[in-house]
Amino acid sequence: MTRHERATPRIAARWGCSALLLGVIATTVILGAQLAERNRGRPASGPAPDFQLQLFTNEHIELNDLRGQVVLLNFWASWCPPCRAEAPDLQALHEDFAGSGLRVIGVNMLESSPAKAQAFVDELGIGYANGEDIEQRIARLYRVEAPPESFLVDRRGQVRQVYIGSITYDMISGNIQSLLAEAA
Amino acid sequence: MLAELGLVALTLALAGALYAIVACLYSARTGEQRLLQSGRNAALLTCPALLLATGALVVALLTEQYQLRYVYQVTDPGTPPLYRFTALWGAQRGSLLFWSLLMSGFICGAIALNWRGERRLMPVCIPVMMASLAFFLGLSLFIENPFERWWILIDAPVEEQVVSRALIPPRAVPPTEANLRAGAEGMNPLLRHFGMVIHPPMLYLGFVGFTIPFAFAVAALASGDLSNSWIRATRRWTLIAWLFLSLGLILGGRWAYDVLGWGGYWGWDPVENAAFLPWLVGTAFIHSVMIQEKRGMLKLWNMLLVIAAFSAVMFGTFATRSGVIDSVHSFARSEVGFPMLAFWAAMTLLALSLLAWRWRGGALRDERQFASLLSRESLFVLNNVIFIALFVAIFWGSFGLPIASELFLSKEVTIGAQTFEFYVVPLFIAMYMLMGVAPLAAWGGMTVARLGGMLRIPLLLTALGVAGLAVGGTDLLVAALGYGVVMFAAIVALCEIARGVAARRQTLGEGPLRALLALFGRNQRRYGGYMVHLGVTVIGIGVIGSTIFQTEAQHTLNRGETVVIQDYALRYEDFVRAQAVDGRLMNIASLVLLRHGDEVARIRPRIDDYPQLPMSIAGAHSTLENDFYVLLIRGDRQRATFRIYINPLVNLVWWGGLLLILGTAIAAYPKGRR
Amino acid sequence: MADCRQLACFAVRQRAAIFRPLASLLLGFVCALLASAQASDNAVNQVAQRMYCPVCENIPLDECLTAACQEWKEEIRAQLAAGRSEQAIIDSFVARFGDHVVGVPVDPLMRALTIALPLLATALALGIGAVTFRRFAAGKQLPAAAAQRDRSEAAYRQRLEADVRARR
Repeated sequence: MTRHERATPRIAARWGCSALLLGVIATTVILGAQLAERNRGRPASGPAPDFQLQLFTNEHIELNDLRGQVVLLNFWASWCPPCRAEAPDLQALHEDFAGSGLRVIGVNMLESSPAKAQAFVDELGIGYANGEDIEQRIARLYRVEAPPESFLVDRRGQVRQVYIGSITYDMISGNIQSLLAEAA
Repeated sequence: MLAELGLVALTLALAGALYAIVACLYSARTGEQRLLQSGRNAALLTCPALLLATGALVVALLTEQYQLRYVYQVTDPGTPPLYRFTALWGAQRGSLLFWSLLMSGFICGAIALNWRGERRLMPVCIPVMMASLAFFLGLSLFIENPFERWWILIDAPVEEQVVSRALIPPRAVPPTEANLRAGAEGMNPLLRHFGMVIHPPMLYLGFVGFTIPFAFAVAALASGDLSNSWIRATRRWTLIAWLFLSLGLILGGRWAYDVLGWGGYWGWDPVENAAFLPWLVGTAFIHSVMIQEKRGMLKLWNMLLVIAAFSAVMFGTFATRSGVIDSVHSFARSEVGFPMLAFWAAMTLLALSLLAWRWRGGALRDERQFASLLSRESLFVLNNVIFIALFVAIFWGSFGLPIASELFLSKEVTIGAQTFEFYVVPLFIAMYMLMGVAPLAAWGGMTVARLGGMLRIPLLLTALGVAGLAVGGTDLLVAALGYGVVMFAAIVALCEIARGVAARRQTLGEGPLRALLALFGRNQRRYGGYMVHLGVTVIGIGVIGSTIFQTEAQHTLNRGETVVIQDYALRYEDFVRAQAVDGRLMNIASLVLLRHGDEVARIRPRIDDYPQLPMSIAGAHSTLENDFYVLLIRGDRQRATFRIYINPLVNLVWWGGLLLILGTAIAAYPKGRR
Repeated sequence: MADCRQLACFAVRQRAAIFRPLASLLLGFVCALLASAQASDNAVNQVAQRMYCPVCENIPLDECLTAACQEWKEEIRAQLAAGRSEQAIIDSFVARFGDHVVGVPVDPLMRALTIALPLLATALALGIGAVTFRRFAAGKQLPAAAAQRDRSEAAYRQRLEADVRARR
């Protein structure tokens, strides 16, 4: 056996095995990170993830700019009947508490066309801020599974309450009042 | 009582597995034979213990012990008895226990059958198998315990009163029977199908089966006994695992075709692909191991393939049970993700490190080298190249790219059937061509002229066949070529069988049937293999027919109205609502299928109303020529919309599958001593 | 495992709690929309086949039964009726929902990654195979290795006999 023949497997072994082992380790780390990300649930407490939203009125809004106010974040779609049912109550909350520092923000998701969202807003006479969540970015941040879901954020930007499914005026007005009573 | 029995049995199994690991490893160091025997006995004990544990859970399911959280989760008072039984694998907890039972059954079989022959490998082999088992038993006992029960804590505040615990907590009472019965959730409607009775067990058998070859490979690496003896021990076990995995895949396809209602059987979904990946590696191994046996080559590569097959199984299990991808397949989303990932990484790294160590020591050097480009072994290497390319492509599409892009680019992508077909189809064409040529090539090398001579008759027959198709009306060039390639592989397999029969008739004067039987009996692996090839070609023809020539149309019909599709006519007759035994409401449409004016069948597609999601169950008129497959989309007594598929030759997929299984069984059947 | 094409949709619903009566409302809702529709079901399905459900992963849009999917199909119908081409419709959805609503990514980088890597891997595998062949082209049975094999077999036999003796 020549020296060349003996040397080749050694070098190949060193490189091949190192590459394989490193590959397995890298894969494990990546999968672990992905799993951790996927297992992250809705932000039920702690700081509310920041986002920017372009409203249907073409203004921009950023959550962190709203510090000092109580924010009710509502994810909705026009084709979702429970969303339609809760919209008048949201509007009423907006009318009653906007003066004392409540901002209601509607995040429109999974809408097949912006025209339908606009029609929904017009038809129900919605006066609070609304915008479309392009590519589901905000919905993904908040781990929204299907509309409607709502998040109540206090004056310090902390998520205080998560509502899955439609909400009513009576169900949450108490919570809003107590959050409004808190100092910023 | 049942829960306690199950818990004790499960604990006993885990203790047995752990003891077996320690005892066998210690005996590996000291050579103490009695300790090895003691370890073996402990390993053999896991099977009856797990049988007892699983039995307890089955009895609990059948006798409606809703205090068990698992029974509460997967059944309700309306569940029919058969599905009460299959509920054993209807959700994570039960299926993990069932998985452990199957694994332990396989392991006990391997220990019992290989104890004498492979005694030298056992001190490492048993611990590796037991480590895998112990891992799953640990998951069952500590994370996903199927014997957890509902309890009401008397002293706790109201919202924390109801808990599920395996052990009875202090000052706790069981909930009332009536409350439990009323709350029971019931089985996932998709799993209420006959296919679900056999598909998961087969798939699990295929999965856990790969533990055995892996254990032998690791034992061979660790003990340094790298002669071909570990190959002899694992070859048959690999074939058995491969058989069950194939069966599981085929049955899964059948279930999807019947229940999921999209007119197809394979959708390149990540979960399907997760089961397909070990199959690809296993297939590569089954072929390349022959080179090692016959020529003493590719030792390193075969080791790598065995490790990769087990690793792919564990990866697939992790991927489908953890929610790392496609978290909506929540059949199995739970806390087991991180432990499974750790286990997968640990086993893979351990085996690869051992391999690297032996490789650098030079123990895996080949005894011969490739002498000729045109030889059986070099074509087998090409076969491996194709299967590995398929593996890489499918892995990348189902897991690599979606995970990497979501994690690093925060962009979600879907890799759909179109993408997979783009790179999988050429590879499959190459595979079929190779399948035609390789069986004719000789070990060691041959000349082009000789191979050309052998190919002449099959090629001529294939040309005739394609010409026949063209005359018969197959006007699509792609399809004709596809059929041609597949047919060529089939003809070669048939010619080889015919040649064998002719040789026996000539030399031994046997009758044709006797010669055929003797041929398969004397050389099971070779001719069983040809039968598998035939099965794969039959599947190939079914796949080409049912994808390229599939007709699909959606029609809305008034009652009494008829629609004409090709030479069929379909008349909407009636619509009834009925209640099934388990209480669900079914909306059944009734249609009459006519061909050339004669009634050939009544087809009854239906929609089952479940509170969560309606399920559309297809109705089909099935012949060897095609399936006339009808889905009810929506409708009422007056008017209904149907999605209609004509799937030509789709039944060949199932018949080919049967042939494949039969061939594998012949190849794997233990040979009596002659 | 060929599971779970619809299971996915089902699971989403189940996890998202059962109170959402989307599915049960679906039939009447779609029928109402249908009355105003012009493009045929077949035309809609043809576009929908190339797309994926926005909520459930990996479910082709044409097979998905969730409310969101039905709504999307109606939007496809409306766009078809407005005379837009298949590709234009798909592009409009991708622009608003990202690459995960189509089976072949539209983003050039993604598309390149999707297609190039498997091709690269195949080429690499073939290359390694070719190099192996070339290097070994002139080889024959290696006497040293064969001798080693004989040695190891002899050693194995010896060990085996020792085992047998030990068991007696």
